[in-house]
Amino acid sequence: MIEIRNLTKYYPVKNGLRYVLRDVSLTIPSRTNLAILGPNGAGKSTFLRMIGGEEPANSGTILTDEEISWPLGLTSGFQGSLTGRENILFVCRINGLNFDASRYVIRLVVDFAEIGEYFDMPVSTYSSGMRGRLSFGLSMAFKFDVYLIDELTSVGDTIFREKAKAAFEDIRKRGSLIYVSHNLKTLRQACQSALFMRDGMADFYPDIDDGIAAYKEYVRAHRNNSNPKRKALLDGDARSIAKLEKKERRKARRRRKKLENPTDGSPPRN
Amino acid sequence: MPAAPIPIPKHSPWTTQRLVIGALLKREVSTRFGEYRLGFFWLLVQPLIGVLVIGVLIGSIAQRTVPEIPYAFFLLNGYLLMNLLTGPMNKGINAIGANQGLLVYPSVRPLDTFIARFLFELLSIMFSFSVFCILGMFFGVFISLANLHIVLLCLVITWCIGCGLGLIFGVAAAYFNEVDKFVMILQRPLLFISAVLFPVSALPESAQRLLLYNPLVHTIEQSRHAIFPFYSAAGTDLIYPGVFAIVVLSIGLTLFHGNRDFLSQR
Repeated sequence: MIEIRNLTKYYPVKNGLRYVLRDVSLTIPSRTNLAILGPNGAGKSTFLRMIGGEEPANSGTILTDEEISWPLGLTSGFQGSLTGRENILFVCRINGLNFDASRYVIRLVVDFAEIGEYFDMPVSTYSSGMRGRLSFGLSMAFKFDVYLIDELTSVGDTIFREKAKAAFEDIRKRGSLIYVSHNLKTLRQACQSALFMRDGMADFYPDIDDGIAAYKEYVRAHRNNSNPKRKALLDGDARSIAKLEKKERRKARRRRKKLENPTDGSPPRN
Repeated sequence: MPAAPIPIPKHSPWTTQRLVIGALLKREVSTRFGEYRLGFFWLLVQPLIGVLVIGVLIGSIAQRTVPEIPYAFFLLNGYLLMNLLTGPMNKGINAIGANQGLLVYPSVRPLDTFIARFLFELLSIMFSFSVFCILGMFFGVFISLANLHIVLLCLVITWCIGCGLGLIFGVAAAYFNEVDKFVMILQRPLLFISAVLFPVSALPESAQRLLLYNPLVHTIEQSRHAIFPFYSAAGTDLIYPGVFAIVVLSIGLTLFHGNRDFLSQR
């Protein structure tokens, strides 16, 4: 169980403060995979870092009796100048693992990540998918009650996604996830409950479908309706889509014709 | 996943911090030396190059002012102590930035990145200092070992001043990006106002009085006097730089403590 009491977090911006969380209190029950939903900049990653103990809150407390992982993201967790192996060894060292345990961790990570000789190359030379593999493999080697995952699987190929899915299944047996993603399909597959964040607020939904519904409702209300095609696409209005596409095709044809017979304004070709 | 994950062992906060600093120190060593072919040897080569350049430029004139000490050792001593002050100061500026990726792990606190870098500077300079002393004795230079405690004190005081400045500038760098440029310009005249090239006694009275406000002059002259007893370090003492170190270090730590939340957020 993670209990959040009167949590406030803000960042200074050009004219004043931007609140990521404003006096939020809620309880995340144990043994439920939690999806964190919300628009860009709503503070999803910040929230994850605060739960992970990396980032201090401006006021309020986070109480928990569970062993929580560090936030697993693509941009953090590794020092680019060090190789994959050195980074893994660093984590083993700060946790005081002995030689055998460290070797065991390295083996698990190598097996999971499958990045071959890149394991002994500086992490700065990795592709984002490789970083994701290493990061995911590292945290899977350790036993936590709660794993914090920040958009990690979005860059993965099919093999990695399948592995991640199997790992999620595995985690469900012994702990839980707190998962930030914009891919609603993956979230629905992996999670049971949801936290919807926006404008300094955070609402907990025990059923993920309710959370997704609330998120979609919010998106609909804040949609930019100036582009007719996007509006039609989002509304699922088939007739207007067909009409707009016909118009586009006509426009494209006219453009092509113009290219084939250049008008007098363009320089003569020879 | 077939293999079972391993639980993270529990440690006391003190043990955790020691483990973290040890790991960061190791990381510092592997990034600093891993890329050079000379590796650890570089610790000795770098001051030698510095001293060689200065020695070629002004050595023939300057060495007349210090008949008691071979001029190369006179220079090396001053140069290494100066590096002991500027090293932690410069390394402190981007201690957090250079370890940003590792601050994800909750047990790695921002202060640990500073401590690891400072320790690295101290250990590396102490290493090259002792190697040069041993080399000197090997080549028949008269080096006194009777006052080793004074030498150690000089090194530690200089280092503490560097650490204090490193903390102050490290905190400042979190607010202003220009700090590293500013510090770079600020330390440029240090070579000339710290008695690295000339003994203080070789300067006119009025210049001496001004120079003695620089704590580095005191520690450099005192350490020379401790190693080469015939060298006179009149007018300098270790009380002034000692107090200076305590004050600067306190200011640095206070600034750090007051801004620790700002420093650990991104």
